[in-house]
Amino acid sequence: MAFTLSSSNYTLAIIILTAEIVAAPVPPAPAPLISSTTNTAASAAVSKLESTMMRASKAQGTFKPANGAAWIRYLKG
Amino acid sequence: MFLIEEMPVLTLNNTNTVTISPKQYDGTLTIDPTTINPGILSFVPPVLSPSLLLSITGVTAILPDFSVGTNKSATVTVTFSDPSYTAAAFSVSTSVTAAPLTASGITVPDRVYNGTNSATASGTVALAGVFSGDTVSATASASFGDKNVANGKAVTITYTLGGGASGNYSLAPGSANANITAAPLTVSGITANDKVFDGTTVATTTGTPSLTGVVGGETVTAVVSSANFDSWSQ
Repeated sequence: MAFTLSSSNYTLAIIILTAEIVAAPVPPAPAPLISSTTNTAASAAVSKLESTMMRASKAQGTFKPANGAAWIRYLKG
Repeated sequence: MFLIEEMPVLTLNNTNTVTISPKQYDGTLTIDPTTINPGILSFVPPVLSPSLLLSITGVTAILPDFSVGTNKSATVTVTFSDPSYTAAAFSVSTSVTAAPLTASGITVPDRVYNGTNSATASGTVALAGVFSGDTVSATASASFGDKNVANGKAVTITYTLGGGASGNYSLAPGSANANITAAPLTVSGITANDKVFDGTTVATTTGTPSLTGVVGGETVTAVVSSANFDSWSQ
């Protein structure tokens, strides 16, 4: 902590105080947009997506899932 | 027939035009002849030998005492080219001034601001210029030109003479340079507030700074200019 004094005839060393930084509260996890465990149709879509990703995983690049989701950038593992 | 022998004591004219410059004290009564201005000093020629080639060859003076002072009646004597002639001595007022001394041996240390222009004269004064047989000593004091913090400030050293012959001497003030450094203060009354992690080191404080160490009834205030945690993480 530093101070500004009204007189240049004095000096005040930087002082050290203690305080804590407490953790920020973690927000609840958002609900999944697609649940492969509770929605049969969604499960099929996910399987298809995963299959597509498996084929794409042979090379690095991006692909656009057939279900219209955003382009996915992937790296070869 | 009688032979009348003239007394070889001549009468001087215009003795009031003779002046003597002030003499600087040297512990003696003598006056440097070159400091005597004869003005239009003259003499009445011998009555029986008016055509004698007689002239004034010297004007000397001596003090009544050697101490410093004014209105001292110096005794002036005139000598002639024929030493058998003389003239009555007369008085001329003059003065004796103090002999200047020089001093060494004093230093002025740096110091911390204390609200005054005082300075410390450290060491023992050594004097030069004291004539043999005189007892003179000196003490020193020192002061800054002002009270404020700065480096290389001019300091005036003032001397006080002592001893039996001190009245016959003078000693001009000396000079030095020294620093006045800022006076350290301590602060209290401030606490740092806990905070929730926000990814920065910025801290906030509570309270009004209270200062200790301010001198001479001066008013000094402090405001927090910055407060930061040493790390942004927990």
